[in-house]
Amino acid sequence: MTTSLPSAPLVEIVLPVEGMSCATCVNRIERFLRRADGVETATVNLATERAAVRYDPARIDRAGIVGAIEAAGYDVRPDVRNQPAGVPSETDAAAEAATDTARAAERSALLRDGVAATAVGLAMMVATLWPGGLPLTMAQLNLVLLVPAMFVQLVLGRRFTSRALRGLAHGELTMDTLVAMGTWAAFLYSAAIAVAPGPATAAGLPLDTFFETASIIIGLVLIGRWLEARARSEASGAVRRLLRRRPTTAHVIRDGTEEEVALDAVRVGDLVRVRPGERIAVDGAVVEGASAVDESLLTGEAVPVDKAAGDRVTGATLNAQGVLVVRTERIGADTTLAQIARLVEQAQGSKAPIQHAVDRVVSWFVPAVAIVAALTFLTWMVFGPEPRLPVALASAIGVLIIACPCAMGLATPTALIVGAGRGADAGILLRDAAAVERAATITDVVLDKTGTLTRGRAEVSVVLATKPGPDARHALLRDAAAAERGSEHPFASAIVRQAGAEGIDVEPMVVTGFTAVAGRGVTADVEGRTVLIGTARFLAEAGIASATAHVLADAATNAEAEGRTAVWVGRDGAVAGLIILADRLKPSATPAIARLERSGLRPWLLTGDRAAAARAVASELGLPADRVRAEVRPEGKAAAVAALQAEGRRVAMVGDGLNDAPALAQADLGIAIGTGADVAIEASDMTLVGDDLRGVATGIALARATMRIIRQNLAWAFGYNIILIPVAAGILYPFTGWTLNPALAAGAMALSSVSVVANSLRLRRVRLVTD
Amino acid sequence: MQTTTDTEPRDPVCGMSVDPVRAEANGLVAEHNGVTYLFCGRGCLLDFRDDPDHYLDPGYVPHM
Repeated sequence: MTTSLPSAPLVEIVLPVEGMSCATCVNRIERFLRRADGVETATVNLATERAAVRYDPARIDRAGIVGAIEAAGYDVRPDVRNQPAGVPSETDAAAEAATDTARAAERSALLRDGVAATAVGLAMMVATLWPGGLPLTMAQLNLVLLVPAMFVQLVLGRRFTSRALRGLAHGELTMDTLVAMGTWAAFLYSAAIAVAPGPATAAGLPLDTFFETASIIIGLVLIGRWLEARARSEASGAVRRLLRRRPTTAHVIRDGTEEEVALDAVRVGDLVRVRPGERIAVDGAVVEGASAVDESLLTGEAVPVDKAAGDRVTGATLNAQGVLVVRTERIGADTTLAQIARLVEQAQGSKAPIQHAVDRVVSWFVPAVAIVAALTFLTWMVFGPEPRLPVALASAIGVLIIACPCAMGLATPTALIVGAGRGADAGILLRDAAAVERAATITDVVLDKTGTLTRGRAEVSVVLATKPGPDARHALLRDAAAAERGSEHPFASAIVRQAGAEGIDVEPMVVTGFTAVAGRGVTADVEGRTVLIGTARFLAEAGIASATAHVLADAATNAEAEGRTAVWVGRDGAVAGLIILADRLKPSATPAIARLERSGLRPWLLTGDRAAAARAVASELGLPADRVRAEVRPEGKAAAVAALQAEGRRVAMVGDGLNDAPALAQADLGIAIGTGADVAIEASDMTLVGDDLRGVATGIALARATMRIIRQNLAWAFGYNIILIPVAAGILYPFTGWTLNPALAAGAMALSSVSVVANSLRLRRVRLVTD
Repeated sequence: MQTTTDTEPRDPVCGMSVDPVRAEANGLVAEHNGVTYLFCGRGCLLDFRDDPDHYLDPGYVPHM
């Protein structure tokens, strides 16, 4: 497919394709595309509904590619966003680092500005509440306070003003709107009193200013933002961090000499040398050398995988031992890692953004407050005593000032932080506030079988000897383990492990003549006994009386119907017995399912197994058969999750491997097992640090509890201020002469902040699950 | 334990089980030699229409 002739650079476009429903659609479109003249590669993704096509612009154009997709029976969505021409080198490490630095700078600015605004506000509060402490008149003090207050309002609080204006342009009312409204009302009113006290004095109003209220609100909300940003930063930027694992250069061998070149300059077909301890730069095939490669990034399997000539290696995996020479097969955007990262980003980007709990409250609270303020103004203008205008204005502004609760900004972050601490103790990490909000709404939990519910590797489950009695069983396992000692096959290691676990030492046994027939079985001479291990057919071919007619044949058939594997053992020309291997459930799997059910969540089993085998696993788990999605190919997992979502369910997906990453990102809540692949962890919203699946229900329960606390916090934060709104509106004025004054505002701020923090701390003790 | 027989209809191309109601509703149905076949999606249906005998051959193994 590659030619040595120089040709025009290939161009890649990504087209949105409509109407795909399963992997056959994918194959069909890819087939039609590849058949088109000028198309070099075509990759169609079902989950993201995208076709990535790389083509020679001299031979085919976009219309031709769209034509090929239409010929296959599908439509290209019209809202095409062409990727820029040329094969993109998809990341720029320097730009990422710059983004990270900028974020860190923004975080420390939040803290600095928040602390400064709070400190200024507290100082002003002391000055106003004890005016006798300073040799200044009230009017003079107000003028002095105007300076720091202006600094807080215009400099430290600039974010709220600009965000509120931007939000208003889109018709969005958020916490920023409320903060801007309240603080500007307080600041402008106070500034007017300070600069021109005349009208207020004439109207008989006290010369109260609310500079400190505005400053403390700005300060505390900024500190809340900082708390939230800090809680989130450790877990975000996952995909970019993933891509950063790739080396930036490669040692390319050209014309017999090795040179270090930038990864962008490596071409398909280049030979790349990888030294021990280096990450492999490209996807390719080993042509020379032998080594063990740590692929835990992709598979979660901590044991390095042996690689020799002909084996495939994946970019960004770690070369542990020897020197490898790799022929480059895929580079840049085509590499496995880049594709997964792209998939994950697309799926994450397609998630509906969460409206934060506080913004949901604010979206109706702001208009309500505006109406109350307007009514207050009108009422005083119509029914109030003279002078009407100043009193009406002061009362309406008082409503706007008191309506902004400064603890509002603390309601979410304090609960999140206490919740995160509680989660960390239980080995549960939630990515950010949005993850917590989504986790709290989950109705269904999809669990991947292999590697998540099961250990992900074959284990001996039953050893059945032809002759009865423990001695025969012992001898069977011993001979089988001795014969398999030299084999690398997973079944062989399972049998050897089982023997070891039962205290059988096969090391001293004399084993000769070991031969393995791939996919069939092995033979070896164990202390003079000829031992065969393999399929029934393998034994039959060696002349051992038909194993299928054996007394143990039913056991073998049943095991296979349940998705387990039966391996026959022959010894000295007769069937010695049967070893049944299975990928066993983790000990926590069944209790985890039970705990989910008790928490009111619907667990689902997702597996590539045939339906009958899947049902056997389901019944072991205590799952009804209609909650099994069997025969789902790895690439169909995300689609299976999407199908449940289409039924209106809020779906969490639990997975551990590379091929789970798109499904984790597709799900409303992706839950990764901490022992799983890094890629899966990066794609998830929630990670279980250990291997205990019961953490799934606990984590969701924790999220629910956190959301409950956040809602209570909002009630506390808004409560005091709501009670004071009528006072600010002047309801008590005709009777007692009371209206809003700085002491009342300060009291509301203090009480609501203390209440919110104390309520968040309750999350440390709240009961999460019942067992 | 006996191997259970599957009563749910299967897509002859990819081998997945098909919800008949949904398939009928979406027109994912094809008739060949008097027998009605149901499909999981358009890809399978179109592939089947192109060459039905290939997918009905007993030696054909469904895969995706």
